[in-house]
Amino acid sequence: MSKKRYCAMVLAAFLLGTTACKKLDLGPSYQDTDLTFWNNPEAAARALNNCYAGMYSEEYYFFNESLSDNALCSSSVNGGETRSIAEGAYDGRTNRVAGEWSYHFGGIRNCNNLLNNIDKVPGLDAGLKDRYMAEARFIRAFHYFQLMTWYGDVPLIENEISYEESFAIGRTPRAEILNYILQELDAVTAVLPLKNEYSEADKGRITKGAAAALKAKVLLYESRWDEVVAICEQFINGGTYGAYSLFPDYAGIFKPENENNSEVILDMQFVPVYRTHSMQRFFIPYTEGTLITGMAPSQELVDDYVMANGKGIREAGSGYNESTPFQHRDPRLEATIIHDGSSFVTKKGDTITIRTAPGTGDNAVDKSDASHTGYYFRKYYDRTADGNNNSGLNLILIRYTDILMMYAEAKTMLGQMDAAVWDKTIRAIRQRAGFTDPAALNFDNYAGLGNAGMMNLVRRERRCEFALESQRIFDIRRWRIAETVMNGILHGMKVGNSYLEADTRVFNPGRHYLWPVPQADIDMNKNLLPNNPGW
Amino acid sequence: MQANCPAITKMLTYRNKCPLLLVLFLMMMAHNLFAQEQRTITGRITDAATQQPIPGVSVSLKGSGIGTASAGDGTFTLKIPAGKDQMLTFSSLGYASRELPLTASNQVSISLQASSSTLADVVVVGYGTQKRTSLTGAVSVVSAKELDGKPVTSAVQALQGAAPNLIIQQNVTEPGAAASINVRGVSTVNNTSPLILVDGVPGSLDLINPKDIESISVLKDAASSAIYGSRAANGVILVTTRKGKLNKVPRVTYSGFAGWQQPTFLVSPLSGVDYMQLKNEALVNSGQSAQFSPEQIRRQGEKGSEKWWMDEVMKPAALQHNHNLGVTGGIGKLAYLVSGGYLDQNSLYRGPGYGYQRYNFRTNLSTQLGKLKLAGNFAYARQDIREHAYYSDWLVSTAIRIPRIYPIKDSAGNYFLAPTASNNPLAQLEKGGLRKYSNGSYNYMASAEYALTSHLSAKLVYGADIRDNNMDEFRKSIDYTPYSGSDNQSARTVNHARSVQDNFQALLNYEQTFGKVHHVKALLGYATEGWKNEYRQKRQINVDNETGDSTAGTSTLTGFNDTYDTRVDRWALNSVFGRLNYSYSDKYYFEFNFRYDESSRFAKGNRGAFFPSFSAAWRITDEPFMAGVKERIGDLKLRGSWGQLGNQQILSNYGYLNIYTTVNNMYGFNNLPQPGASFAVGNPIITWESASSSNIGFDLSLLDNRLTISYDYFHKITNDILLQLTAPGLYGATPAYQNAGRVKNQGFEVAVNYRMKTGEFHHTFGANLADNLNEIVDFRGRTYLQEGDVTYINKEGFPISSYYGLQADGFYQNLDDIKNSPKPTFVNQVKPGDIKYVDRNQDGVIDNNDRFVMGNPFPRYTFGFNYAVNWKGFDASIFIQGVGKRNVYLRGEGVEAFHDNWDNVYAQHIDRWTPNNPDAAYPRLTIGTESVNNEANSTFWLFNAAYARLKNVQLGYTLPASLTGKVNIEKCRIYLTGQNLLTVTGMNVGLDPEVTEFNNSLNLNQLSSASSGRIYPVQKVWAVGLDINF
Repeated sequence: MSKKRYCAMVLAAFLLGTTACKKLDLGPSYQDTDLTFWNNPEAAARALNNCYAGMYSEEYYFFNESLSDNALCSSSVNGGETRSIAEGAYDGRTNRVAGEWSYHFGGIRNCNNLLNNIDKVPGLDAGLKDRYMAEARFIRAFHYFQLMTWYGDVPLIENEISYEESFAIGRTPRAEILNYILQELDAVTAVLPLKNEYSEADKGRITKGAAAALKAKVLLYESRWDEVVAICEQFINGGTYGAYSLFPDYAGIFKPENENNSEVILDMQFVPVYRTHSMQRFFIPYTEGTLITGMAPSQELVDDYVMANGKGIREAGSGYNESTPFQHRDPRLEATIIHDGSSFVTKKGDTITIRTAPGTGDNAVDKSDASHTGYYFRKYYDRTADGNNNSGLNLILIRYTDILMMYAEAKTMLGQMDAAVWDKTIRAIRQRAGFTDPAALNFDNYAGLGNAGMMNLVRRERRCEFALESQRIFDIRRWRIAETVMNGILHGMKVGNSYLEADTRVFNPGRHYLWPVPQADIDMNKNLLPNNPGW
Repeated sequence: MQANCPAITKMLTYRNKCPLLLVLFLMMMAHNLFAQEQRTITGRITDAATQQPIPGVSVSLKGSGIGTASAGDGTFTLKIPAGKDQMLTFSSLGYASRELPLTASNQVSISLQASSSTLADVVVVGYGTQKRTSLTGAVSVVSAKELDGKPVTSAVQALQGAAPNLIIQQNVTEPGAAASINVRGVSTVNNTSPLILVDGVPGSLDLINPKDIESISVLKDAASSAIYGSRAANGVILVTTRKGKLNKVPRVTYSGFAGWQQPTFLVSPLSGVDYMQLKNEALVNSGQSAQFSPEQIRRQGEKGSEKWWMDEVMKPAALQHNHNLGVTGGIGKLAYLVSGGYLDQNSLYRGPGYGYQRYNFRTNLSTQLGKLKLAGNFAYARQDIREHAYYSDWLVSTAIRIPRIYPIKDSAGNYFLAPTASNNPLAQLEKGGLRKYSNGSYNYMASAEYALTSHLSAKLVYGADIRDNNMDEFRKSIDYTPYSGSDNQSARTVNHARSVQDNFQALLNYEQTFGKVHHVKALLGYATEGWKNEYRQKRQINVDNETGDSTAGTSTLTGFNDTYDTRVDRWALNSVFGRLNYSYSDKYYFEFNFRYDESSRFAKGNRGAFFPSFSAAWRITDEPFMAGVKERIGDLKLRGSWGQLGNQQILSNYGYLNIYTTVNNMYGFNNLPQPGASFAVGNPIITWESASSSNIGFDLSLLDNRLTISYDYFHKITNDILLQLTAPGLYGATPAYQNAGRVKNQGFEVAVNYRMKTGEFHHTFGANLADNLNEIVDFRGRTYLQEGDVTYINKEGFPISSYYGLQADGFYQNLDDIKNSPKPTFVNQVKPGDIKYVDRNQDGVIDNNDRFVMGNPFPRYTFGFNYAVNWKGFDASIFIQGVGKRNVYLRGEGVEAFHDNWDNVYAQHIDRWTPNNPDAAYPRLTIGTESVNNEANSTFWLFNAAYARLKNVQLGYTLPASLTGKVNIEKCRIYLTGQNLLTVTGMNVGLDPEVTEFNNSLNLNQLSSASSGRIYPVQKVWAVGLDINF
């Protein structure tokens, strides 16, 4: 028996011995871990591209328009429930309000991750490293600009915070955030190259000009007119921030063949097929978008386009005829908006007439999934988009016209609008847009407007020039006119004897000028209290 | 010499004490080895209760590999070498095995007890078997009999309701879709799938041919599953396949059924006219103008309603059939089973031949070569699924919401595009292309067991489960001319995945009885297991719209999840485990199990964990002082267990590492794609979840085993739950997993079985009832809210993923009512007929602070009931299964009229609030933003999903043996069977009460849209079946 036992033990030992243990140090074959990633010389560029990709959202960019009086969001879910926000029926749980907050803090973490780890990257040229860091700091400042604009006081996070810290960190006063943004922009302006100093392959990267222009915009939102003027003059008068000029064709600015044109200062870059957005399906004619039209221009926007003679449609002598409302109008109207009877070139190349009057077919305003105002947007329509309307068209965040318009506005607010400023700004912009009537172009015709009148003119010019470019919502809030333009009925096209009532908006100035800090964050971090006024 | 055998047997028991006898024994052994004498045993086997012959009983000479099986008349003939101390074993499915010592007589007559309700049968447990009498843990066994005759497409479906607290749910019901399985509820927010082993090797209940299953053991408590340690926290399901039998003549069995599936639509659409009137009412209620003029409505009335689109995309019935052929026999000492199965389930969708086919093939071989026992199982399963190239979610959501004023095709035969839809589901089915899956699965198991001594054996097992999954999705561009629709881009995705899960085990088994009463069993084992998945994919757009091949305009998408070369993921486990059983006098039982596991899913230092368990049982009625009770009442066994179990199934295989993912087109400069890397935060200190589980129970057997009752109560605390705890948005990333939670789960199971006979009728009753209730005990004081169409909450003191919202309190009846009620802050105004909410915090307004935990989405009081009766050749059975308590939150177009500005409105909305109908079931009809108040998350949309379903009915007839025997047919049964025939539920809003938005866990990241009605309907099946053995 003992022999057998011995045999058994030998056999058992043999069995266990021959059984190789599986290795337990396993990692994915197609991803890096933090031990390997930063050892790669390409790591910094790759992490930075992630920062670029998360700088701003195309959905926010377009649906911002329906937060304003420029457009209607007809769906209750599209754009992160922008319709509810425009109607004043929202809170800290509303998709966009909650989402925008974490979107920007996610972007900020991406930047902080790069800035914290870039020293580990081997063989990175010192100059390139400085530039990468400046690009990331610009993007971080951009996120803070957005956060501050929507939420006021926000946490200032300059490092990758720990999980525990995120439950304790409080909000930094808006004034400090503002200073931080301005300081950061100054710092990176000094480091970043000019537009023409980048190689062809780097077109679309953040430039010295972009940093300066963003600073001008931040100051504009603060009504710090003198400082706005100073920066804009450097753009207009010399090449301090690079050479920019108006692109000769207004409609062409937004076409794929003219990407990176002479007036683009900062944009979100897309690549056909490989990095696309599919936003145009929401606002081009239903038959081309082939999805429920999520967003449509308002009658109020259409009405704000002046006549070719520069007069508002309700001004005496404008020549406006309500039965032929689109004749003799600001050429930018047709370039921006599609109305009943507009001509349209489909993706296949057919030229068709879009009909939106009731009973005229699939694009008609009485079709529940077509535009609810009877208008569609034409700006940013990309004919080269694929069958599902995925487009590689870049979306412009700041263009040179904005420098001119900021300059015009600041000068006006300082009471310094004169023929010289006018000619450099409004006149040049109108000429480029296709105005030819001297009545619209010559300052003399407007000299008597007075400051308030000129302010209104500049504001209207800004609205029409930048419709669908994510500007209006910020403008009506900084001008503090939201309670006027965002209260009451938003209209659609004229049907019969009246204009369609497309939506009822509510804006409570005691509460709606700042969004609430998202409910989920408040629930987890009481140091974020008190919430914004009224919330 | 034979005559001496009993005496020798007796003496042998004392051989260790008596060297002389040992010498004698060895001499006899030697004699046996050289003796070539043969003897032929003949006999007859009958059912102890019915005295009827039992065919197909496996008869073998113990320890020799020599055997046969009984014929149709219960007789057998077995040639064996003459020998001493020989034992015949008799075993058959559904009967308790028996061993019979051979005497001088060559004639044997034996009767077997039906085992469905005895305590004597053998139960498969981890790495071995145990007699049911000696079980100390909570194990439910489902026998092949309970799977038979159900017209289901997988073993999982047949298991629903078959064992208490084995909870089967489905959130996808399309052909070929897998169901989710749960044992004893949820005790973690992570994966709660049990470990499923087929003959000891990881396998799948969806892929196995149900006809190959001999028995299924569900190991529920720590005592029975702790030997599987790290992966046992969610229970273990052991599937044992049928074995080969050493029949002289190959025995062939055929079984099959063919039948029709029918969709069970529960939503009823309105007539065209009703829709128009309700739409107008909703628009006007919402401050908009009516859409339809009285003239249009009148004309619609004259024309009549169009067919409902759901009826247009679904066939009224679709064929389903299944055939299985099995052969068992022996070649020399090799016992074999070869079986094949074929299942063909046509889809209810119209379109080119959609459906599911499965082919199963299995060979199980075993042989006994002296002390060496070899076994090898090989199973192959192939699944072919042909389905439309879209998602059923979208397809059904369109089909159910289009009102019956629009035809699916216009008068010219073009696919019609209705308002609120830019595609046509019938076009998508008929012209939209195809998604094909062809999946192969290979399941191997090979084992060698060697008897080192008569008490000690060593066993090696190697098993592998290999899956080859291929998908080819070709979505065609659809031309909707003269309408303008979407779906106008062709796309093709082809992917391939090959996973190998292999498993090596080395086991030592020891078994010895000391002094007649001390029975000891021990097991020591080592196992190493790994999983490796290699996969690749290619995704292209603008492919040739006819062939799907690349063509001039084709682009290959290069996003991270679009096109990639082979990627590899792995995990691995190394383990040592053991078990010690001790029983005294078959009265007291003790068991100890342990397992030590090391897992690759954690960082060095946190990898290993030790999982022990203890259990004991006491057959109290075997005590002398209970003899009277045992005689008069029956047999009672008390059981208790405690143990620790682990869980390492989290979503990420590498959660302890920060992961950087590089994609080629993260961004672009100047129209050139740029690679970029995003990162996911890891947590280096994560480790196992561990569950401490206690169980007490009893098994009671009464009335001469005709009535058995089994009861278990369990209490389980899961610690260190791996949570991706939520973080404030300002954290800026998805938080890493951390061991942070603690969940309590408790419940009970009762199973009652009863057999009786009235005249010629044999009845069997079986009923089971189970409950489980989980509660988050510790969540680091945090509350996790997932806001959305449905708001879920994870909060201490409440079940995992509970529903959260406002408490509805009827409707506002008039303006005074509104004026006197707290005002909701999330809408500008409310109107009479809107839902009123309770101001739970009494601050005068209705807002987020009035929300409360309103429901638990996990089923409680699950039950099953079956009754079967035999009368002569006839048999009938019914099987009812259901859930006693569950909340389900329904949302979206499934229940809300005019959801999202759409056109959906159903019969249940007729009873809406109007000033003339103040006691309505539904609030006033609204559309768009006007619906914000009523669509808020509240108890109004929370439904009681309790139900009882007539899951299966069978009516069968077995032809008399006297008749079939003449043509050498042992058994021939034909039957009619029906599945899902009737459902009783209080949830009368048109969705199936069985439907859940959750998959196999209560994981909020993987919710389906089933609770909005976007689901392929549950099928009712009628079938005829045939079983023949010859």
